Amino acid sequence: MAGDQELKLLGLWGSPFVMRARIALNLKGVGYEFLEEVLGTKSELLLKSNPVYKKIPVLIHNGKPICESMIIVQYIDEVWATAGPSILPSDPYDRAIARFWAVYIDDKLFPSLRKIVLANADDEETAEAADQVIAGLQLLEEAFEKFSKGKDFFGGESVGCIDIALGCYVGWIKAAEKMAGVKLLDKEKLPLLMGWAERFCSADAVKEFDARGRQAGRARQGASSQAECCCHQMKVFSFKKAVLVA
Amino acid sequence: MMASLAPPSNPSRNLVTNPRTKAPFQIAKTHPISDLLLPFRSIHTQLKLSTGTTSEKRLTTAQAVSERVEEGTTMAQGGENVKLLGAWASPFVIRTRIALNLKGVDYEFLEEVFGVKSELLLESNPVYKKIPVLIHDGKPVCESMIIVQYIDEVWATKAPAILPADPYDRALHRFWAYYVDDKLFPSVSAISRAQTEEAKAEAMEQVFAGLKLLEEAFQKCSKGKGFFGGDTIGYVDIALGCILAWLKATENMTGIKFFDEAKTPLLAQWVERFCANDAVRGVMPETDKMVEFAKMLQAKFKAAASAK
Repeated sequence: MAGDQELKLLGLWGSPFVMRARIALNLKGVGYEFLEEVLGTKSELLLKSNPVYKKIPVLIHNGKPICESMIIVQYIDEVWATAGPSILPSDPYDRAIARFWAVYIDDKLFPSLRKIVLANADDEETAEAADQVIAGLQLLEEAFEKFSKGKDFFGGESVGCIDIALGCYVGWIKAAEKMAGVKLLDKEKLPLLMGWAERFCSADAVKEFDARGRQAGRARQGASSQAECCCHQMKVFSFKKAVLVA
Repeated sequence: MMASLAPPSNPSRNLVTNPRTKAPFQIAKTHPISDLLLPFRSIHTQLKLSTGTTSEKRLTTAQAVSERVEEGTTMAQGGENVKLLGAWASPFVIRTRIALNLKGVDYEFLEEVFGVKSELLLESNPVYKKIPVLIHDGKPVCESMIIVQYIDEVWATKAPAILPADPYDRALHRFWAYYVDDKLFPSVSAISRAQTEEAKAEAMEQVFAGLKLLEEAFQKCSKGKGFFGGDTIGYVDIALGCILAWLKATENMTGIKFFDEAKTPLLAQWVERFCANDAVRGVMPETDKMVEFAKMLQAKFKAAASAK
């Protein structure tokens, strides 16, 4: 089905938002062409496909562009509904909860994380941002307990909407910890999320494209080397003051 | 909020007096919300003391919920119980009311008191503590456009569909609704918050640029029909249309014309069509009421600013 359809993804390695789209495509087993943007520039195709925001990721399906990472994820889930696991739950209430946490993650968690990683914040601002991240993760720890129902992921047996929304930030969280010297994913305070993060990073749909700097089969190393690559990317990002994320 | 509805343990079940009839009644033990009602009695008493009388018009959340506890035993069984926590002036609440009206769903509107957050709101939306919150059979749903999608999915068999059927069209509608919240509404707020003429002009420019984009979006989404959703009100109509009362009030107060026939002809016509629609008319506040409310808000902000 995907074979006779033209599917391109405009993105950038290191962007958590692009990662979301790639994980979703991997979950569905869908082949696509990954068109990597050059950091600091915006290609003609990007400007044409996302004239409103001019940001990645953009999924181009048979010439039609879809923008905004979580909108792309839902699109993938709907178009390839019969392939792979469902990304969003089937029950309307559960779907509403999944969407809620995805909104929360981008609305509250991301800005604080970004402040730590990208901005030249002073110690007080960094500490404040770190507190906000920890408070947010605490809420998500509770949400995980309810939503996972004892299974491996927020989505239950398989990676789902919240896993994708939050999981793309694991690299950033680890990078932030290194750069700011602050513990965000604390094993004692957030035991469930710690376990989840490991499982998420090891999941087939996630580790598959995280090949750079990773030795095959060493998922743990994959996650930390991803973080280190992420750190480097972050430094480049902040140096060029170009954040190509959507 | 899924966790917060797990009722706190209350070993003693106090009898609550119905404030209207003064007769005591037992709170239904089976209803998840029932455990939240115990603090209401004191809130209600406080309100009554502060206002003198409990006017019929200003139906507080506490009173509204407690008055219906008599039906408590039937709440958890059968039938659909739909409550909406909100406020008449909030565009986000208006979104959800339009969606419920489109689907012909009966619901109880529990109006929050301005400036006060009810216990029910804090329990139902502990993360954001904001309206609207839809409470369906005791389970809360938060965030206006998430509520709209929820309504569309739960009452999927009731026409019209709010989101289109085609996945690409759905993605397009979601995108524009996101744009409205992300870019357009903040620009609109920036106009009223602007301290200088320069800031005001800049905010206005952004609004007009946004409306121009939405004019093009309308052309794409409507496919020649009357709404973003086509023949009937859809997702983007709801996302954008909810703010029309506020915009009309702003036009009234500032002389700005947001929807110019010359600049955005499609949107200008859509505005009238949208406001006249059955699902919208009853919940779209009248312009003079909005103006009054806006002036009250401005006075409040000024007072707060000068107090600092």
